[in-house]
Amino acid sequence: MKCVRPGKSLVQRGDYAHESFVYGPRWIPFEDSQTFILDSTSKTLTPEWATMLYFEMSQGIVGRPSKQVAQSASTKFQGTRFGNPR
Amino acid sequence: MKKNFLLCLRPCLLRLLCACAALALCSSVNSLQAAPGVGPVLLSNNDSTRAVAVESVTLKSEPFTPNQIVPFSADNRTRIIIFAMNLDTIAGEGVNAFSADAEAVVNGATTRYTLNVEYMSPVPGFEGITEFIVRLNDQMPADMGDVLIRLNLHGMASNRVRVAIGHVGGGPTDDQGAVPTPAPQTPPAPIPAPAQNPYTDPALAAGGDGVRFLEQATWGPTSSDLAHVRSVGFRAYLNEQFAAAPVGSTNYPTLNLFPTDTEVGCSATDYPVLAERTMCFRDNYSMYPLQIMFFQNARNGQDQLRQRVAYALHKILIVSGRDLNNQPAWVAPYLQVFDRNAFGNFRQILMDVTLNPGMGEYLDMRGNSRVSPNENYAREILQLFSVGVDSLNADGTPKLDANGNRISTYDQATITNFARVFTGWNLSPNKTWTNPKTGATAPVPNYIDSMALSNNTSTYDTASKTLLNGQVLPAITAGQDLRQYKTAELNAAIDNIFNNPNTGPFIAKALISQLVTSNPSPAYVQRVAAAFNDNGAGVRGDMKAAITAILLDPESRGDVKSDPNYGHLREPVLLTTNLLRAFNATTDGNISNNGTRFGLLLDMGQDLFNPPTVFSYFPADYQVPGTSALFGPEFGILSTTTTFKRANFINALVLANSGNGFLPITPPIAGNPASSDRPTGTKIDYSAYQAMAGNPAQLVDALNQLLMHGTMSQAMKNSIVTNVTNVTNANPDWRAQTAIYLIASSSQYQVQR
Repeated sequence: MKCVRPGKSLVQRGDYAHESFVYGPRWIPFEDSQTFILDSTSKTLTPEWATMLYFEMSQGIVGRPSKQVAQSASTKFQGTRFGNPR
Repeated sequence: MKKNFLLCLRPCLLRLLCACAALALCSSVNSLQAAPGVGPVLLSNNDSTRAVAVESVTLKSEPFTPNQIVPFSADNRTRIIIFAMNLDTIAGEGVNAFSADAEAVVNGATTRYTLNVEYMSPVPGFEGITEFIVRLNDQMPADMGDVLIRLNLHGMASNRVRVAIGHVGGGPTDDQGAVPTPAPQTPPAPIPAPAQNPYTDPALAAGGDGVRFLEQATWGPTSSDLAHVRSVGFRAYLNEQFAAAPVGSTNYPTLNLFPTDTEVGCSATDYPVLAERTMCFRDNYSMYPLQIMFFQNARNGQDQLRQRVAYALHKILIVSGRDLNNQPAWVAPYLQVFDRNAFGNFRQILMDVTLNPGMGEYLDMRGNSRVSPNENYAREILQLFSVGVDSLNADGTPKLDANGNRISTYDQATITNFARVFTGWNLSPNKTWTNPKTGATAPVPNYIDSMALSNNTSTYDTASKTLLNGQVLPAITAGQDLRQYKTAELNAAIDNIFNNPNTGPFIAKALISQLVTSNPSPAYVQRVAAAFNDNGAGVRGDMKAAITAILLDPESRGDVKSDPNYGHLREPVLLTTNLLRAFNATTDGNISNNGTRFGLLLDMGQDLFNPPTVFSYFPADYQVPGTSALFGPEFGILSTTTTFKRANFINALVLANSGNGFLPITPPIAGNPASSDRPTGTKIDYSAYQAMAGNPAQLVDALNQLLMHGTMSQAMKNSIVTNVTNVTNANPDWRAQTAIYLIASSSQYQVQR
């Protein structure tokens, strides 16, 4: 998976298009503790992303996950947390 | 059967409701004013959000059981009555303008259920209050506790009220800010339903609806288009667009036909330099030239509405480049059909597509013979291109038989008969290919001109055929000219499809889904179908009339749409064009940041002009997982992977390369002709927003208006302002880029409402 640059890939927890379309616009602030970032160093997902994805897949919200992403999510590997954007 | 039964009970029911309503509805001190553009108001008790609701037959109060103990109806399912005010209907609208849903917590998970709205009527003596009968969803468990019920009209959601299923209590928490909504102490007067707004007043475009309109009618709002539509109004803008022509005669010029064999067309002998040979393949055996044209047209063309409609049509009447030998020259004439006829007549579209050589190749009508005729085209023109498999009411809902089952529009015999009509046609005489390297010539199959009747008349099926609705096309008569017979027969078959009552609602719903919303109300479909059926001058199939009806309907217009299921996910193509136009991008049309030919678009799951199946890039009837009857076609290509790719795409466009977008790939190299045709880059212009970077709140507000027509939630706005403020003020470009990235990657933006 091609990853985005560190510190520049804030995505909102719970604020996903499926959920937004079904239940209405959602927004959960991305303070540090809730910030999900793709790790551009290890080319993998941070644990928070993995947890979220695992939840989404288990709920059937997101279908057809790639094998790579599914493995990443299920193993909840460690990644690097980045702080706020510069 | 249930509805009839209820109608039989109607006088009694209404008398009882009078008494019930007098007690239950008039005890409040609150006063609700009818207001257009606000949404319906469901009535609740005085001191809670619990609905005023009764079971529709027995008039018992909650908790309700999903099924009746006494089978009052054939399906034995419970119906409940709820009450509403402030209905902003237009003249002639009835129950099919409304939708309803219930949110519940089932086994710890939030679940949404669609509720059929079966009946509506003013409450006698309280004509300003309307009762609605809704049917509980078949999937609802027997004992789920409280659910939150909502009523939607024209994309506007009501407040949500609590209704108990099985037992009182539990269920979702009330919506933030929810308050009791009892009926006013003084019964409201009925709100007269006005005639449909003609949308000629430019003032109607002054708010967020100006942006919304351009999101539906163009490839995305630009500041100049927005100023213009706000100056002339929606209807005048449409009329201007109907008159706007592409640059040149078409958006997709005819390309040079190359030999079918790539080793001949781009031989190693003719192209000894690998880079040049690769470019030969790219330009003649891939969709690259058409994709480039598409994004250049979308970004810069003045005929925006034509392009949007043509694109929508190409997703309904499908041809895929991957099954046309990947030759762009074979696909261009197919795209020209929609470019040419987007504002013409749908019958002409059906005819031109039928005889298009690309379609002939894709669905096997080319060379079709009376001996075992191929059924592919016959099947798809009926199922996907025109009438669909189910007989439809005028509002696009399926007709049901006495047992509640859907009624087929046609059967296998009908398909076979149409397949026999579609025999005898083949490619027009060969064209000549001139090798650009050597000047040598060779014949190539003609995938440019419309198909013609084959000289091999033994392939013609000339027997009688029975088509839709039992229409019989007679067999050829003795002495009748074979070609005249087959031509007349084809015209009669196209007429048979075009004039079928299903075609109007089927195409109306398909176009609405492409341009406005994935889940239109039946009333909306009905209005558009009516315009399709008769443009007011007795003409059927007038695309301009249908498009006008779609874009100037109360369900498409309005500054805000609060129904959460309204709108649609921006497919990758739309996501791309919207951002390019919003920020005045300069682009060569190649949506790639590494020269890999639209790599970013492919990553997001959409291979332009190469849809994977005849069901298009994503199936029109794709239902959002975990819902009942909620359509979301674009979600068919939104997976965990493509979700990331979307964020990556926006990152590449907005943040990467210090905000310089997709950089040029390898500048031209002297003496290497191939290097002169590399991607020259795509870059958005956010300078106008850099100037606001000193005031993050102003910056976010401006982007909110541009990208989300002012609908950004306060929580989202606060969060983004905080993050933008965290970026040093000494770096205004990074502040602007950060704000754009965060908004564009949010689902509040990606679901276009």
